[in-house]
Amino acid sequence: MIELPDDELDKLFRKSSEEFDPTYEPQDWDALSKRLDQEDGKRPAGWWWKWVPLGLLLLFIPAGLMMYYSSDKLVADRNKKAVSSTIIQAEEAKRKADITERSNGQTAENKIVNEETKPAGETEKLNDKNQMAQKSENPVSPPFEKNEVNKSTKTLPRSRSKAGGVYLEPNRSKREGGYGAISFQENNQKRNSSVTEIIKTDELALVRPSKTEFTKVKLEKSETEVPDFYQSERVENGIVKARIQEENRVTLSVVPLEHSLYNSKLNLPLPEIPEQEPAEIEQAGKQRDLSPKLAIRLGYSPDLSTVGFKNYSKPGKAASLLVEYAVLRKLYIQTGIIGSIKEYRANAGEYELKKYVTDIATPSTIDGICNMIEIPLGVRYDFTQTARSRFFAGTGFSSFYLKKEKYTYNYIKHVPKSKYNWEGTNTGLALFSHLNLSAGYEYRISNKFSLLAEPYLKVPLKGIGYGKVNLMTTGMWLSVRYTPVFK
Amino acid sequence: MPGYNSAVLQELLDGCLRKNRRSQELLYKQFYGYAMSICLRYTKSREEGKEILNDGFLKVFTKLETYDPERPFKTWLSRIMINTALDHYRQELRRDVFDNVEAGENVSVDETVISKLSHEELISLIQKLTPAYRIVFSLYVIDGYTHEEIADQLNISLGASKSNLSRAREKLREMLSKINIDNYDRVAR
Repeated sequence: MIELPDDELDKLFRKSSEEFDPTYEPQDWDALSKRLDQEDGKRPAGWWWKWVPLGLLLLFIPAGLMMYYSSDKLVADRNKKAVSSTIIQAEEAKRKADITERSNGQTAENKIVNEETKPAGETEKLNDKNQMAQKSENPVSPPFEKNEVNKSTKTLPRSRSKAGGVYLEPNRSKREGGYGAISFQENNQKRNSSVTEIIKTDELALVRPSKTEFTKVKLEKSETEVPDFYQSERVENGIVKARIQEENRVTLSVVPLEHSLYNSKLNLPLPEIPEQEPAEIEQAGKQRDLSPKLAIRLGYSPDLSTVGFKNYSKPGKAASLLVEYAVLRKLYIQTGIIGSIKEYRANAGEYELKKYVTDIATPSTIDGICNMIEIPLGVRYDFTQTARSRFFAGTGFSSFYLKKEKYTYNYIKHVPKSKYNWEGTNTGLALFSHLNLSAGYEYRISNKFSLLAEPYLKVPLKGIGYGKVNLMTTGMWLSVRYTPVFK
Repeated sequence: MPGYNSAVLQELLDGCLRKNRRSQELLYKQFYGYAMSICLRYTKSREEGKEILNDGFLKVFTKLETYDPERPFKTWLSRIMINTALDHYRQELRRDVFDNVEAGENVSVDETVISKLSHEELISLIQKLTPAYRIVFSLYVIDGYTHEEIADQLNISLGASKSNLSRAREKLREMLSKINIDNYDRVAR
């Protein structure tokens, strides 16, 4: 047993401290690595964020195309089911006028008999429908061109169904869920069945769709026979009285308001409705809705800036406020303001470095973070314009004002007194320094608002900023477009 | 090229200057033991030591531009670790969270028992000291600070620094003696 003097004690602990080597624990580095990421402003899985714009692009464009084509297909299918290949030929109808004139007399008489023998409830229904017809604006469906059939039968929301004179289920009363616009067919047995006049000829079956003109109905099974879905009642003087099943009711449930049945025998008042060409109305609607003169866009985009498509760093961000003015129906002039933060890395050779930097040592790479204000001036052209969607492309030029620049110089080997960074504010204006190229898809969500996805590329025409760097930028605008309506 | 640092180390430091994560990891690995041994003798546990270690390395990676490569990196690193530990001590001091260690019995120490103690066990004895004793003992005995520097760093008087050192030595002796008695008892049974 001995007493341990101070110097011996100190020596003992000093030696232990110097020789003590704690074992490495990887989780300690993991903890520090996360803190370093936070310090550098990097997000977890930062590499993934670089591909977000491309991912969104791949998502939006196929989705847009799918919606565009599926809506057309849907309309076509509905037309096929509802119309069953209806063709209108006025000339043909005139040619057959003689036949029908002779038929009218007898048919009218038959109908009058039917009407007189109808129960009181039925007559009330008829009167109701007639009154509804008077209230409606365009109760008479015009003859359709073959290629217009698809457009006119496009599904519209019930609230907008009167646009362009189109009515949904016009032969159903409002009580039954329809509009009751032009329904004067007999309805004597089943509630959902209807009767119309069909004139059977060698090639066609003719129905009376409006006023004095007849509609030629192309028969499905045989061109010379009434199809099976008409349950034939009788044939008199070439007129087939047929009952039409519910699924085909809309197609053939048209009887003219000027029919002698109503204006001569029953003395029912006929509505005086100014005739309007639906095509013109539709056209006017299109002009107003699809080509507003002025629009405002508010957008956000990830900003991937690079010098020569290499050394991508983490994405910056950009926000835009753009104004568009239509000089032609499909051609817009665009301008506005874009604020962006661009982060990039470039080789030293791609900068114009100051002498005081290169005199000591030339950096290998330079990291830049720049706050910029961009003034774009360009045009946009709509390749397709439909009620809901558009595909467009744009081009133009951008001028940049650099509000703040911050550069970090990276060296392969440390050299004493090397410059490691530079920072400056309001460092210059570069007029028309970039060429803008873009293409995109716009989807209307309402009359005034639409959503846009627009990938873009800004190609440098000259160097900008303190280092005069040729900065290329890509990204994708995700915008909301507002079209104010001026009265 | 400064002679203090090897080419490999210089390469790592350059990578760290470029914020290359791989270089940072390699540097961390290489100096983990050295830096951790410093941190442990200024703290009461490994967890606390780890916290100071990572705080210190964060300073290394973010302030590497200020490192003068003409001086040894190890010296710069140890200064950072010690300063980080002192910052931590000052924060703890403000919170007044320190407790005292029970004094051991006043007995002599058997050298043969001491020689069998591992470095880790000896460091753990330092960790058992009160923070004020631990800091002064580590600064003076192991890291070579003078009492003037210690007094200045810890904002205490010169006499307090000397007194703390003296008491720290006394406590360590007591602890070593206790280990000695425990071992003697174990052998006797």
